[in-house]
Amino acid sequence: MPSNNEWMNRVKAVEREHTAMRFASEYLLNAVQQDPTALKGNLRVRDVNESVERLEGTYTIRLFAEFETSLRTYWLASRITDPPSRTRDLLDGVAARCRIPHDHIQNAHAVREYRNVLVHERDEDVDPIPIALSRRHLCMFLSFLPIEW
Amino acid sequence: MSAVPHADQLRDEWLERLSSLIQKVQTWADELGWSTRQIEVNVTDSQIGKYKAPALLLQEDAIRVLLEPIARSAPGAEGVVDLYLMPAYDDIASLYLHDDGWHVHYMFPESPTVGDIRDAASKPLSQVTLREVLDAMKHNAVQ
Repeated sequence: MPSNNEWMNRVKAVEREHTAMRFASEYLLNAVQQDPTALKGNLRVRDVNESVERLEGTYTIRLFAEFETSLRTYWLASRITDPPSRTRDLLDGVAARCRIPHDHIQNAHAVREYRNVLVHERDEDVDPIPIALSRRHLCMFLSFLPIEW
Repeated sequence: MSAVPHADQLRDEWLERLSSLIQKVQTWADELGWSTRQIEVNVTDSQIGKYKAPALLLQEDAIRVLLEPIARSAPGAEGVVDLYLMPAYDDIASLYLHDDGWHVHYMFPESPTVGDIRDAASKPLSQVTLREVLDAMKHNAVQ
């Protein structure tokens, strides 16, 4: 079973991957803006442009997926019951068990709510959270879980 | 994942370089008054496969730092190790192995501001530069 630090590392790895993809996609966008004929098939410059614009959101969703998996894994390892199906309840349940300070719980919920807006394309008035800050909030939450479980 | 010939040898050479770096930084950090502990981390490399690599935890008072291997090779470098402020995993500095030595990429106070650690000015790794980085990081962490 991965240790707590390993779960945090997985979350951080998603951010690293985003950094690499952002560099690659911006490089590509710059290249195809200079020479649109470089694109093949039905690809258009606007498709590349949109992928660049949505990249951070896409990786924020992945970031949260790793985080959620770690919480469900912890729940299953430490309790007899199945984890709650609602992610909100999962966060609150783990936070209560691990006595996580209120600020860190609220920050993790903020990332969850932003993720929900991204996934469900809601029109809610939620401020975008930079991926580095999302990673920070989620790692801080995870840091209160036991080292091994 | 495509294994390269002599993957075992490449891995062993890399681990030897890493171990030497970790041991050196641990010795320096101990002398600077930090508590240190070596740990193992799991690494996956597309060419040499999965392996366990040494990493180093440093702590002084409430400040905890992790020195963690990232990649055996990168453009222009033969190894990359990152320094993070824990537990948030905030980027502090990157160490690149090139020209037979480790170099620290960090936004030193006198350096021009850049958007990414990897674009920051670099200095050869030494106990002096390590102390500079850790002192600056402590100063920022308490603000």
